[in-house]
Amino acid sequence: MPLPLDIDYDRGLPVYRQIYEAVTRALASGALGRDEQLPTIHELAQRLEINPNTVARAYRDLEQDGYITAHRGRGTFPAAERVNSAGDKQEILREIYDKTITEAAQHGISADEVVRYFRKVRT
Amino acid sequence: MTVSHAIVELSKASWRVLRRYPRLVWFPLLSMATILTIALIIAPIVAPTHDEPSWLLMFVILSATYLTHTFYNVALTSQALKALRGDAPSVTSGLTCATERLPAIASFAAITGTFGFLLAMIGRSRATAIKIAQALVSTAWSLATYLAIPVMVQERRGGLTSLRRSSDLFRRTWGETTLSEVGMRVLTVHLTWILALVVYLIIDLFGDSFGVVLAFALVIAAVAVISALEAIYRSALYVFAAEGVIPEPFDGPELQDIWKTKAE
Repeated sequence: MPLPLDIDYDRGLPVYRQIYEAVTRALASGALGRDEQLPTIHELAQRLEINPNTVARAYRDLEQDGYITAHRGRGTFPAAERVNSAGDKQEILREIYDKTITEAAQHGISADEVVRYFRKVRT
Repeated sequence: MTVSHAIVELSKASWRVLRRYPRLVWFPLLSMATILTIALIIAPIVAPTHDEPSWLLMFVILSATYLTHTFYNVALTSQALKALRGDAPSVTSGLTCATERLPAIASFAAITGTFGFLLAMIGRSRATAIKIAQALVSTAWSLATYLAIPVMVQERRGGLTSLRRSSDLFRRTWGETTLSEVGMRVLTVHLTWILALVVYLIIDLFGDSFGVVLAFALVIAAVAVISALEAIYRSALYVFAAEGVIPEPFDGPELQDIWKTKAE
C-alpha cells in the first residue's frame, strides 16, 4: 500500500515535517506494516514533486528518532517496535486532544464541555 | 560572512546550476523576443494620432509586457525547481506548465501590473517625501511578493493567493529574501557598469553598425543570464522556506551561514 501522504501547504508546516508526521501516523495506525518498504527518497520526491533533500531530511529525522531503519541495499523499513505502538497512538491522541481543546477555547467552549459532548455523542 | 561575500557565494551556486542546465536561459530570451514582437504589433494599432503621449498605448503595452514577463517567469521557475531536484529541465515542459497556469498568471499580472503602474505614477511626483515613501512601499512590495512565482508553480495557487502566501513565507525568511533582493540589485548595478564599458569598447573597436549589433547581442545575453540566475536562487529560497531544507548546490559549507532563519 502506498504511503498515505498529501502535502498541505496551508498548514504552515515545512514539507519535511509533514512527511515525518505522515510516516509516524501511518506506523501508529498500522497503515504501514512491519515488512512494508518505504518508498525510496527519489520515488517519494518524484511523486510529491518536491526536492529530494526534503525527503532525505524527513527520513534522517525518522531514523534518528527510531521510527524507521535503513538497510543497505534493501531499502528503508519501519522499526518493528514502532508499528502499531500504543505509545505513539497516545502521542497522536494527545495532539488531537490539544488541537480540539485549543480550537474549542477559541469559540468560548471549555474542555469539560468538549469531553461531556464527546461522551454524549458516543452513548 | 559579509553581505558581499554572501552575494558572491549565492551567485556562484546559481551559476553552477545554470552551467549544468544552460537551456534555462532560453526562457528570458523568449520573453524578450515575445515582448519585442508584441510591442511591434501593438504600437501601430494603438499609436497616438497627434503628438500627445497615448495613455492607452502605454497601458496596453505595459499590460502585455507584464503578462508575457510573468508567463515566461513561471515557465523558467518551474524548470529551475526541476533543475534543483536534479531533473533535466526542458523548454517544452516549462511552457506547458505556464500554459496550465494561465488564469493565475493573468490575475497575478493584473495585480502586480496595476500596483506597479500606480507606484510609477506616484514616483513622478517632485516632492521628496512622496518619492521616499514610494521607494519604501516599492521595496516592501517587491520583498513581500518575491516568492509568489515559485508558490504559483509549486503549490498551484491563483494570483492573489500566491501573493498572500509569498508574504507569509517572507516572514519566515526575511533575511534571506532581503539578501537576495539586495544581492541581485548590487549584482545588476555592477554588471551594468561592466557591460557599459564593454559596449563602449566594442563600438569603438568594431565601428558603429557592427559594434551596435554585437553590443545589443551582448546586452541581451547578459540580461538573460541574470534573469536565469535570479530565478534559480529564488527557487532555492522557496524550497528553503516551504519545504524546510536547503537544496543542492546551495547547501555547501561556504553557504551555511546564510541560511540562518529556521523554516520551522
